[in-house]
Amino acid sequence: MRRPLGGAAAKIQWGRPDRSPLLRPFRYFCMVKFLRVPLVLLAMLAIALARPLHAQSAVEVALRARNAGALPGVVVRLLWAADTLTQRVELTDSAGIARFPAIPSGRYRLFIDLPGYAIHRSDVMAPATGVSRTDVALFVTAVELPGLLVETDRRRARYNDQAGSSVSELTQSDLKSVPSLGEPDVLRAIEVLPGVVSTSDFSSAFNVRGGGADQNLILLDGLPIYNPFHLGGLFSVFNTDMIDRAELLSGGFAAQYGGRVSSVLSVESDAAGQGFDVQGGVSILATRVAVGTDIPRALLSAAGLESGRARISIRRSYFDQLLKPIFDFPYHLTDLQFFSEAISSGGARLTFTAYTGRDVLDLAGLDSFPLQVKWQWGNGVAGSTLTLPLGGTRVLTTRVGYSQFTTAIVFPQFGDTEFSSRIEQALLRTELSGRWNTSAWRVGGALDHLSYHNLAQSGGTVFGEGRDRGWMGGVFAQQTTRSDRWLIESGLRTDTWLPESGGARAAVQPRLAVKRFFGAHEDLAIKASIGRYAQFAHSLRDEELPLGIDIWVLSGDRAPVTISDQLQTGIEGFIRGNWYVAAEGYYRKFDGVVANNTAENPNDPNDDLLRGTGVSYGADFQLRRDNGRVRPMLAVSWLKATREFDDTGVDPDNPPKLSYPPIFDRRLDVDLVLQAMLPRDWKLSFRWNLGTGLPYTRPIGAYTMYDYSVLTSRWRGPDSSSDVETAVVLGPRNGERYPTYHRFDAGLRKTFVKRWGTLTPHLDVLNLYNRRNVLFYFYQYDRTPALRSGVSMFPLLPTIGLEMRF
Amino acid sequence: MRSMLAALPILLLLASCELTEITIASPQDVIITELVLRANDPLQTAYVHRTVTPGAAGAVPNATIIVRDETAGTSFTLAPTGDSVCLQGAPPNTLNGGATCYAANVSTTAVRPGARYTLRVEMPDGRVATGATVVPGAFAIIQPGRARLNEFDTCGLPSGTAFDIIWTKSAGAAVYLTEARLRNLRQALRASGLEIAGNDAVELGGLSIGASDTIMRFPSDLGLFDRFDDDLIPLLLAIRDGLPAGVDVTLVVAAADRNYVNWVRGGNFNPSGVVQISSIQGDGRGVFGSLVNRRINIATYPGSYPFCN
Repeated sequence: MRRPLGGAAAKIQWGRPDRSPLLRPFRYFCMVKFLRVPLVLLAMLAIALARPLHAQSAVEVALRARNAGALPGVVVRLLWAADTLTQRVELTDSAGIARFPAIPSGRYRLFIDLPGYAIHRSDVMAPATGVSRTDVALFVTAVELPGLLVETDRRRARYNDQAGSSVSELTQSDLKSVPSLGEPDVLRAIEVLPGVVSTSDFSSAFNVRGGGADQNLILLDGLPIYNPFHLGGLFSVFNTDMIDRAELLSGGFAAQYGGRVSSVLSVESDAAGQGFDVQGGVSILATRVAVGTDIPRALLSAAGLESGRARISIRRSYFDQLLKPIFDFPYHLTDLQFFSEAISSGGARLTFTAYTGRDVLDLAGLDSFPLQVKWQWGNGVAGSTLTLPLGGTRVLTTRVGYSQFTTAIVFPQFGDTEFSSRIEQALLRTELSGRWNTSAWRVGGALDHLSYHNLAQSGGTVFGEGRDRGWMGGVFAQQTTRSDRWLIESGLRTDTWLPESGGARAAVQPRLAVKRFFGAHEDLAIKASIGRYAQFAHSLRDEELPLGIDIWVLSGDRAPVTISDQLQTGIEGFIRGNWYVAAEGYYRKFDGVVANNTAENPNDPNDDLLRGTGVSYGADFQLRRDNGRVRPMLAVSWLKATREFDDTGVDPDNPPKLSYPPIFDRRLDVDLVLQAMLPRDWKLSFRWNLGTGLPYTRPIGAYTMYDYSVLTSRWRGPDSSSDVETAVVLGPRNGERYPTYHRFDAGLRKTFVKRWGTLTPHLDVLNLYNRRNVLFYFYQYDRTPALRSGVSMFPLLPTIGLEMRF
Repeated sequence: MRSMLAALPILLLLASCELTEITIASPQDVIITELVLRANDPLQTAYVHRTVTPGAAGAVPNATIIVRDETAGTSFTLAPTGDSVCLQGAPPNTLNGGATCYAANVSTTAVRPGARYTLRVEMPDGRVATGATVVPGAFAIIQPGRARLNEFDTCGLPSGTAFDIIWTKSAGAAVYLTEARLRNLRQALRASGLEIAGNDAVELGGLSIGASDTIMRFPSDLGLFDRFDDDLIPLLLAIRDGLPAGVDVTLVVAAADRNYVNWVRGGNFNPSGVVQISSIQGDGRGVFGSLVNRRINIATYPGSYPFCN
């Protein structure tokens, strides 16, 4: 039985006219109520724009490398000459410009400390009114500088500039400092961040603040990755050597981000250094190598560019080869990643990103396996971004790209059998950003073409099929205004999905964030944000399975649009300049989450997914220091999440509602990470993770399964005791919890500097005290007495690896 | 040696993950009722058993099982009877010593296609379980049509050929289950040079999902659920394009209701065992499903029967 969709948002997003005149007043009321929030926001935006601004001056610093192009993403500090403790920190934008609006006139000291370049110090004057512009060209230095202050400064810049987002960033160095399985992995490393829950050692899928794993937008240089995992989730598709930094926005993200409701993980590729550069590594999982080089000047000149870099990496696992003498392990993965960037003399930046990865499980050649099966899956991504300074403070960024994920199980012996899934997205994005007095603004649009096709068929029958395609258009505008000690971010995003199957869906998503700074040096701030987020794609991956593959569907007749209203508030600040502390509370409401309908009606092609609702609330705390020889980080997260669906398993035709904690409802999660820089280039790192028990559904009994034959109209039972198949009767859904999880990991790295480069062997030991964290319990009611056994997650697991660079 | 060393962590990972077993409290006693109504069948049966509980047998001899025809307002009661009425073959090995067969002799119109029935299972201790089913609508096999079947509902098929079996739509059917018993298949394949062990008849199944999927390719679509069976794979590959000469097939196409499908296809993943979706609520679990069956025979004895297509 299909239920009408509830709520004003649902009525609007589905665009279905109410035929009943009785419902019309209600619908108008809902629409007015729904539109009230964006109207208020727009009014605030107008007020902010129209408001007379302080007659303060501004300083712009245009930064570039000597004999090369603009330097984006660099921390620039401006210290007031009269009191050097008073400082402003800004990041250069994609055109290499750092802007310091609304500063008192006077003399300032400019300080830029960028690894690989000589430290720059100079004085600049801020005029009484207007903008002072300073051009800075950094010299490359032969000796690499430690750059210990960089992360703190970047955090400070974000603290100054962003009102709403909860952002955590991990650099390549951070990624390599978290003890890992075999090789550094960005998806494993972000598990240490506040608000992030991982349900299993075996899966690098993650949940953020009570959102589903498919509600995380995962971007590689701005291009979406649909299944960012290898080996069913054991580790990610990202080769750490190719990563400059990864940024997780766990909430309150601005209007420029659309498409997912829970978080944004943005991974940026690294062009790495100068000249010919080789980085590689060997681990128990795979061997990888990344080669980088400057793009020949002749090639650049022909395209009107001044400098450029290109890198390519390749990685392949070798379980299949290593284990061959012992047993057949017919699995391997390969991935290939390419990144290039080129900069024009005018500061324009052109990047190109490409990724292709493939996992192959080939049982077709095995004598020990009766059925010939070949299973392949992987992502393909390509895209280019052009960042163009338009003069003044305006920058135009345009991105084109394509992303796809496919998986297929092929049975060479049975050509009538096909299990396959494919999702594709072609995208065009453009945005214009700039500053106007003390305000930064950004407007943009997106046009995507999406399609998916999932098919399961065998023996002349289609077990399930879903397909659709369509266009998605999105526009957004956002503004950040700094006024005295207030920072106000307001934005509005509208996404419209036009599936071929019909029925346009539109989602209006207003967002507002406010931050108030305190203290003589504005080292403390309280902030609050509220916003609406929409998602038009869902993964049908069974989150209860520790290993799995994403099967995507797009919103349409089968799947709803997920709408999430979110509120968060918190406090953040810097203690004595070195320590960053943040505490945030949040409340999230989800409408249109989906779950597989195990009792779907085969005659209804649109009921295979259940539409449900969800609520999560909690609090995150973070304390960290990013400089010094010892860098600790403590993250504490508290979460309560629930999901509510029709319980079709009880009565498919008239299902009652079932509310339960989802599998990622970890009430308390504590992460303590410590990095210690020891003498002689030794680096020691620890991670201790504690998580209260995750929910599971306990069986309350087991019974013998009988097979009913329609041929004889009789039941067949097992012929022997070894053939007995048991089924279980389940207790309340997720009504029990596994024991508390805790694990201590350690990593040790030592860098040897050779004439030709560096060599870094590393030892990682996971689960140092061999805690048997529960993966599954098995309730064995067929034993006397009845037993509970189970399997654990990672045992004590030492791994070694070697990295090199020259 | 180097390979083995490198493989060590993986072996460790694979080998050392078992948790210590602990004794747990007794499981709950849950009555499992499996009742599948068969349209126009004068014998209706139910197989009733229970979850494994210490010291308790699986049999449930004292239940009162009543099926009520909600359309006609009549009802019939199933009474305990011998296992052979419910079971195919010898009594099976079970976890807790079997089950109890219940049966009712009724008229051939007691269970009709398209009618709605309710079930009530009462236990002496007061537990009551209920369910409801709508029997799928009547349907007929149209290929091979009536004219192509002899008086024993049998048609002939040339060896090495396949054909489509087509039937009319059964209103409300969730799936069509096909089951075929192929007698003399192993011997016939052996005669054609393929070494297949044993002499037993082979039973293979097929499936059509949804009321509108009213076609199956015979014999290519059979054996859908046997494709992981090491012994049967060569046999399935050998009959993809047709049967060898000398095979005698009995084939049933059954339109099944949604309750039956939910029970057999399973629910959410649980590491402790299969989860079957119950169509019985209250103090018990199980299936209250319904079927409408159609039966034909196909033989590959050359020249003896009218051709199937």
